[in-house]
Amino acid sequence: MISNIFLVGLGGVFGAILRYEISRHIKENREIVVPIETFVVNVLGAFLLNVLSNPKIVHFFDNNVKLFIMTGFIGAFTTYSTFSHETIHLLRQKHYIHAFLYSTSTVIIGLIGAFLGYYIGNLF
Amino acid sequence: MEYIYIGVGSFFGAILRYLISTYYQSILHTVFPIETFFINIFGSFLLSYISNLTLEEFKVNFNIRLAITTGFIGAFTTFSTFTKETMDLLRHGRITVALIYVLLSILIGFIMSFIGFELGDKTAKILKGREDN
Repeated sequence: MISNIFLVGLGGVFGAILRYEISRHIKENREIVVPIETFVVNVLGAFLLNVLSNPKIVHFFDNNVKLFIMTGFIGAFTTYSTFSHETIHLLRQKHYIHAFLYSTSTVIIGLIGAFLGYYIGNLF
Repeated sequence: MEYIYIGVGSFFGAILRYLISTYYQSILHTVFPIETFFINIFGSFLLSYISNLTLEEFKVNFNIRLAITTGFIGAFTTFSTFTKETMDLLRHGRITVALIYVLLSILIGFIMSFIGFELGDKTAKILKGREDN
């Protein structure tokens, strides 16, 4: 149990730091109000997790790898709270159309990414 | 340097998510992924409350703020698991549950974040009033 917890935490550390680095890099270069950095991170993570968790792929990993990569790393790499927070932030700034576009595209493209990931996993 | 702060926050955020998920899964056997749902909506509230409060009113140390928001709450909530669970529901033909899960997560997540912002404003006002007196 203790080692399970440690593996999840360690994976989470790497996932969150990678999210921070990618976000910072995109944020510095973007000129629009829509927080595409969170969009990119979430869609990418949704895709990856669904490739790896496909039953045809997931049996290659033992429990430790699953905890480290899937629960820890990808789980912490993506973030739901920032998505909600940024949408409401856009609304409060009266960027209504941007808020709408940001939230709908995150969910729709996130789920398409997840489906594609699952589909690619099925090819193995 | 900020890596250390984000690292510490996310270490505990990811672990708390894991512990809550495994605990709920051991006592509840619902089709609806209630554990991720609660984690995500609660995290949405917490992030908006804390970032609004610390940004508006208190110049909390940048690194501490990063540890709590980007690290702890960011790693506690998860978007990827949300999509994976939706896919699982769809694959098992639970289309209505999948739809309800997605819509509720989005809607309640937004409402919780909105409440977090508003409460952050209110808390800041109260604390500011105290300082002025």
